[in-house]
Amino acid sequence: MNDWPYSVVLLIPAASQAAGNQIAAGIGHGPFNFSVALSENGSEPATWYGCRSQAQQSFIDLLTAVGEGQLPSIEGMNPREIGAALMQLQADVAIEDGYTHFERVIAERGLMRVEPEQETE
Amino acid sequence: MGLLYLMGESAFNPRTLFSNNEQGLWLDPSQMATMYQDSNGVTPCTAAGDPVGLILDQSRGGLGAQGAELVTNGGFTSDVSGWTNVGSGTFVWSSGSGLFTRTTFTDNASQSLSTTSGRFYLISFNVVSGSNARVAFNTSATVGSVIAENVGVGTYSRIVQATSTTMYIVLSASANVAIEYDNISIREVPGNHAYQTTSASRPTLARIPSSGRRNLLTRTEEFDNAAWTKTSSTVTAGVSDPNGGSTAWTLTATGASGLVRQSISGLSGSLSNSIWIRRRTGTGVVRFYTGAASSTQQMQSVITSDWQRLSTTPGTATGTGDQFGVICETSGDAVDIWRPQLETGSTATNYQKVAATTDVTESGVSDLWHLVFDGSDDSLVTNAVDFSATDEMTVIAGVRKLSDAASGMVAELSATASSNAGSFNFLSPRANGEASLAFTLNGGSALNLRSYTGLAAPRTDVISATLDTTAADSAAAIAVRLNGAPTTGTEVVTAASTGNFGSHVLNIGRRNQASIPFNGHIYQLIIRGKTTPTGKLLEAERFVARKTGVSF
Repeated sequence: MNDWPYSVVLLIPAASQAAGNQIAAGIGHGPFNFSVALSENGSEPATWYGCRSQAQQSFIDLLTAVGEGQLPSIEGMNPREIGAALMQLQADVAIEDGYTHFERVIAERGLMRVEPEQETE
Repeated sequence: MGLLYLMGESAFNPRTLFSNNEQGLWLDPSQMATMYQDSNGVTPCTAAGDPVGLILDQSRGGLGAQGAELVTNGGFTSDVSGWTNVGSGTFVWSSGSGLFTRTTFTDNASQSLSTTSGRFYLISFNVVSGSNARVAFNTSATVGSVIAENVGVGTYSRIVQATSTTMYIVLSASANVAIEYDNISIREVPGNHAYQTTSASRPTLARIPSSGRRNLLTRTEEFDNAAWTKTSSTVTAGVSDPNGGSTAWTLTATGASGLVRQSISGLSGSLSNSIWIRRRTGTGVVRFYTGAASSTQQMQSVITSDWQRLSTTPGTATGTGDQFGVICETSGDAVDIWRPQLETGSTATNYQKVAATTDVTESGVSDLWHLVFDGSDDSLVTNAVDFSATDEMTVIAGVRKLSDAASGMVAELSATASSNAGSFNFLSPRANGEASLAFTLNGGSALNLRSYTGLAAPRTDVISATLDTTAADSAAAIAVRLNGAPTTGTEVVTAASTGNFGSHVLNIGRRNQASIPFNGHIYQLIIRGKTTPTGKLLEAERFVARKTGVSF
């Protein structure tokens, strides 16, 4: 039995990216989790940031608890700041190939990746 | 002859590529003991599906070639000499252990160590008694950079980077209690290890059989999983199977047309579906989905109370919602089912267990272990690898590219090769929507870029590149071999260049941990700061091919 059965896509508005990353780091997931820049047409500036990961049941439980209003305690952030950021968070959980999952979720929300110029120099 | 050939191939060890202290790295996901789920080496990888936060470079031998012991008197044989008691607590010898007692937060017992910044060290220790041990690996004799918090009796290990030339091992406690420590050890783990501190960006460890994945279903031994749709039915585990185990399931119709099935889109051509089945109760109609949309075939005339592996007449996929599964039409009827398989072609082949897309196995067939990069945000990075003494590089990789939709960065020395002198990158594909791969080489004085087209995804290859930053043009600078044979490619940018490689981080799976995510698998990655003679290169390519499931 795979301990990491779930694919999780998380999206947060660009204005809340720093807070989202601070929260993720505060619960032990390291820095800069929301790293994929997204916008409606794939052009700068990014309006959303996303990430995708395999997840254990414990992380799904955490997302469920957040959805029910139970906020994690984060050093350096007050509950108001944490709540404001997490209210903006969009989460999608699936048992699906990671690439397909991420692409589906951003497409459903009308978003595209913001990518640099191609390697042609 | 054949035996000798096989012996020669299996005897090759990529470590020999580094026997003269050539700079570089060798990442080998088939060695489970070299990988950890986190970047601090706390939780080892133990199974397919685990995230990989740290993979140890094997070019220098990894854990098997640890450096000298840095800790003085870590065994507390007769006293606590070599350790400094800091603060108002106490640190005393106690029957072969060091007994630390804390009175305030800042109390600790510590020892300074001579380290190399950026290198990785295996730190191990025992907690002999107490339940609130706290250990730090810090740049000062204070309780910062904690590597273990609130741990009790046990043996612990961490793989941690030094951030200074002088580090301190700091023994303390999470509360005002007494803790007995023993067997404190710190030794360098040599190599250019790749890691990912961000949880969401860790690639996934995976395996497929060397025969390749054929079974298109998922969760093939978990009919209760959400991957299987159950309608008017129940599924029960623990049923005796044809092998004498208890891994079969019972499907019981609780209403008319009770069923269990999976629906798959994107298939084409003829589909063979098979399943082991026997009747448990009832006499009603039993149907199999044929794999062509929702069409079914009656099978009750051939199903008996004995186990049989049965297949329908092959169906032709429609590409949208093609179904596989079993239907019991009469409420109360039950069949036992085991080992379902849906595959392309018209013949059922040996069963493959699909526990997850990252964990596919086949009895009697070797596993091909690899790292899955999700094409979204997965990547690894090393600390700076100092290639500044050389203008030569060999890159050998076993890679599966899953899509050509978007440009993918397999590996890149520095943040961006085109703007950092003495660096390179390996793209697959080079550009969005292009069936290609490419190498870029920045010698400092000029840039060279060659593209290799006609390589449509999905495909698995052993790719090697010999790079030379002192070269007359791109053909001289970049020589690529595909599956053991030279391939010329196309010149995109060409110039005479000079200069050596530099000391840069190596990004794997994304540019600078931020963009151009690679959508695919890496089975092996060898980067050597020297050109490699053709015979030796072919040996290395064959080694990588065997680990990648490629033949040539």
